[in-house]
This record gives sequence, C-alpha cells and structure tokens, in this order.
Amino acid sequence: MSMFANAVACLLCLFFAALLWNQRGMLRTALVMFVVVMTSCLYTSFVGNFTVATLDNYPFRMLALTLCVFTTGLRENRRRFMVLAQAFWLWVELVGCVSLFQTGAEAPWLRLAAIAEIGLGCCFMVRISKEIEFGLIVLWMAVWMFF
Amino acid sequence: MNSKIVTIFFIALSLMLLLSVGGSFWDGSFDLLLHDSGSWKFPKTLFVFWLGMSPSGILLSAFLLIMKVKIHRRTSLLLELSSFCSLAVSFFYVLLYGNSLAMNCNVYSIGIVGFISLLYFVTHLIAADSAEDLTLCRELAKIRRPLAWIILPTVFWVVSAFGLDFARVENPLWQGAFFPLYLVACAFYLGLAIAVALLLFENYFNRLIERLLVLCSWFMSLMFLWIILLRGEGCFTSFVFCCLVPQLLFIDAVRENVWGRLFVVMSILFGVLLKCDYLVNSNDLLFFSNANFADVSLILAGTMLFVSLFLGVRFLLSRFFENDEILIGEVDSSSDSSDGEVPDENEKKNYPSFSAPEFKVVRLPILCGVLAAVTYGYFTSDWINLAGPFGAYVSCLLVCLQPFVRLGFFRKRRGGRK
Repeated sequence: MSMFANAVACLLCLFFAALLWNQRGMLRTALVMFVVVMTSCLYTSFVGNFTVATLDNYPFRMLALTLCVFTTGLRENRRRFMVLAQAFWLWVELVGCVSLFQTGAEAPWLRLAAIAEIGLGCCFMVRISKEIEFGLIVLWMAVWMFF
Repeated sequence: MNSKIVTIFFIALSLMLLLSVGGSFWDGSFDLLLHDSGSWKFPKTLFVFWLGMSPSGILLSAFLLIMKVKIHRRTSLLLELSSFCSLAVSFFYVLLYGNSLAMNCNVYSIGIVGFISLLYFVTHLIAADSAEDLTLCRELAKIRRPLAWIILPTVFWVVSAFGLDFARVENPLWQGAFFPLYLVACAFYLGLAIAVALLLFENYFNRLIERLLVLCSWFMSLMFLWIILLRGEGCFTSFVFCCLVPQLLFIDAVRENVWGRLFVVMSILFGVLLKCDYLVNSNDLLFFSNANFADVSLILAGTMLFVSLFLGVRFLLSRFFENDEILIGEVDSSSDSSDGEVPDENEKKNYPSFSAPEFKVVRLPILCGVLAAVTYGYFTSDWINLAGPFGAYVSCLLVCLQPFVRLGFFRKRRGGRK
C-alpha cells in the first residue's frame, strides 16, 4: 500500500474514533464499530493489492488504531481500556508478524516493539491530561505511518 | 431448570441417534463407526469443532468480567462449565478415532488452558457459595478478575498458535495474518450462541447476550466477505446458517419463542460445523455430497455426550448454581445487582499506576510467570507454542495460592493474640 493510502487510512481512523466518541451505550458503540470494520474492509479492497500478504489484517489494524484513539476520550477506566486497546493492536500485529515470518517474508518487528513500549508506558500514567492524550495520538499515528 | 425443554431435547437427541445408527446399517457406513481406518475425515471436522468450542465459554466469561459487563453469576458459571464439557467431547473423539485425527495440535497448551480454566471455574464456584466460610469466599472473589486478566491473553495465544500451525501444516489456503483473528472471532460467536442455548435450559434469557449475538453475526458476515475478497472462495452454506439465519431474531415471534431461539442457536452451531468441515476439506459442498448415517451418528453422539455431561455436572453442582436466588423470566444486565459476589466498593476510585487492588494481586505472579516463560523459552527454543501458556500456568497457580496464604497468616495472627 502506498504512503498516501496509508496516511488516508490513518485519517479515516481518526474520523472513526470521532464518530465513536459521540455514541452512548455499548450496543450503539458496537454498531458503529461494525460500520468501521466494514468501511475499513472496503477501503482496503479498493486501495490495496491483495497479493501482498501484509494486507491480510489491514482492516483489523485500522480498527485497533481507531480503538486506541477512541479510548483517549473515555471518562471512566481510561487507562484500563487504553492498555486493552493497545494489547489488541499488539495481538493483531504479532499474529501478522508470526504468519509473515512463517512464510519467509520480512515482518515489521519494529512496529511491534513500538506498540509494546507505548502500551507499557500507558500503564505508568496516573492522570492523563489533554496534552498527554494529544501526544499519545501523535505517537500512534507515527507508529502507523513510519514503522 | 426448564425440565420440559431438557426432556424433549434429550429424548429427540436419543431417538435421532438410534435412528442414525440404524441408518448406518442400511447405507453400509456402520463399518466407518467401528473401525478407525484413518481415511475417514469427518472425525477431524468434529474434533476441530469441539476443540474450537472448548475455549469459547471461558473466553466470553473472562472477557465480560474484564470489560465490567455484568451478567448473572449463573450465566457465567454455565459458560465456564460448557467449556470443560466441550473439551471432554473433543477428547472422546481423540480416544475413538486417534488415527483419523492425526494432526499437528499442541496438547500441552490445550491442557494448560483447560487447567487454568478449571482453577477459574472452581474459584468462581467457591466464591459464590453462601454456605462456605465467608472470609474464604471474599478472598476468592478478589482473585477472580486477576485470573480473568491472565486467562484472556492465554486463550488468545493458544487459539492463535493453533490457527497458525493449522494453516501451515494442514491447509495452506488459510495461511496469513487473518486466520487467527477469524478463529478467535468464531470462538466468541460460539460462546454467545452456546450461552443462549444453555440459558434456554435454565428457563430464562438475557437480552444483552442475544443482542451481542446478532451484532457478532454481522461481524462474522464481514469476516466471511473479507475471506472471499482475500482468497476468492469461502463456505457459502456456512454463511447462510451462521450469519443469515440469526437475523431471524429481529422478528418478535422468533425472538420471544423458546423454540425459535433454539432453532437460531442450532443453525449457528451447524453453520460453524460446516465451516470446520470447510477448513478440513476445502470443499463447500463435500459435507452434503458425502453425507452418510455414520456422520450423523457421530455428530449426535458428540452432542449427546456434551448434553449428558453438562446436565450431569449441572445437577451435581446445583447448590452452587442456584444458590439463594430465584430467577423468573428475563434477566437483563441492568437488573443484575446481586450476582452472589462481593461488590467492588472501590470500583469508582482513581488509583495511581500499578496500585489498583487487582494489580496488587497479580503483579508478583505475573512477574514469576514471565520469568518462567522466558526460562522455558530459553531452554527449549519453543517461544510460540508453549512459553506463554507455561508462564500463565505459573501465574495462575501463584494467584490461586494467595488467598490461602493470606488466610493462613490471618488465622495464625488471630491465634497468637488469643
């Protein structure tokens, strides 16, 4: 996938997170998440080339990034859900890396390490201020774009 | 317990099993049932199905506990019990058709998941038992969520490793980063479906679980479409049974009717069975074109065993399941304030990092578990299959020892004061 398409995907994730922030209740949130996954699948199928094995889990990576950004807007149990969302992202990436490794392709281990480090860092946060929220979103976007 | 539904279901299953065994004489497939030649692939399909179902109950129960979604204690106990029964049924197939099931499958990691699930289940049972020592119940209730925190990633790990291994050795069509995600989603879906079925036997239903089931069916449809986009093929029959039929729950008459709900759940389970057959054989219609009475007998024998085991243990442990609560009709998440557990008074407090009560319980065991996993991985070079489950095993054992150690110290100190 090209750098531009990757950047658009990242922006889409931010937009999805903003959509999720406006929902109240678990079921409505789940419904919007369904729309998020569907749009991500459609976007990946339009933009990506399916012969590239790294695109297998691309919509789920988009969902993971969306969830990470979404957790910054939570009012309760923010740290818990932030760590959970990053654990989900880590799991999606880990499974992708191992499957790529098994087929002999080059796996993005650096991205995995970066997500793990940010996730671990989140465990140490006591009060998450607006500035830290912004910093986290920038970090996640950087991981998405550059690793 | 809804004895009417249980009786009708049990008798119908027995009759169908008898008929199918009789039918296997008629179509000449009885020989397949008796002799494990190794050429019959259907036991493998059933093995994958029941093995896939085994973590689903415990996965759902642990996930809902971690997400702080309140479901009734009885619901989560039923889910956890169903996991063990499914594991027992898959073991039954291994015993009977070992040659046909020759496949790469890490028995130790499955055993470890079974063991830590058992610890979780027993902790839950005793923690909810009002007849037991109240101090012990309180101490055990404190370790439930920490145990769920360990169980959830372990199940994810084991299912992912199984999926990656299966794709690499058995069927290269499924090779890729997508397959483990798909398997975990299937496990969630199965957990929700089995929860609705088991609650039917208990004569009550949970709207939240039904809504989640419908939502999950949409996600499964998306995953199915994603497979079609990726691989250019997929199991369409399974899509119909697994994803389209559950939409009937939108119709009031189906949703409010016990038999309607049972039909939807059976359709989902059958759809997942078709999916397992597709995983093993890579042919959408092979299940129907090669069907014989021996296949039907084997499905029904597994189902009978599951139902018998489940109901047997359920009746044996009815004191724990029923406790001192009375349930009539619908149980919704909002009405669920007394699920027999110690209420978490500190839930709304804001804790500094690494100092929440749950974390205090889990930090030393996790550290020991990570060290054990690293040591195991270093000496065996097996980082993918067993290192994680081994670490989880050590952590869970240490977490479960904590209440007893704490109680021992408490009693000793009290004895010293006297």
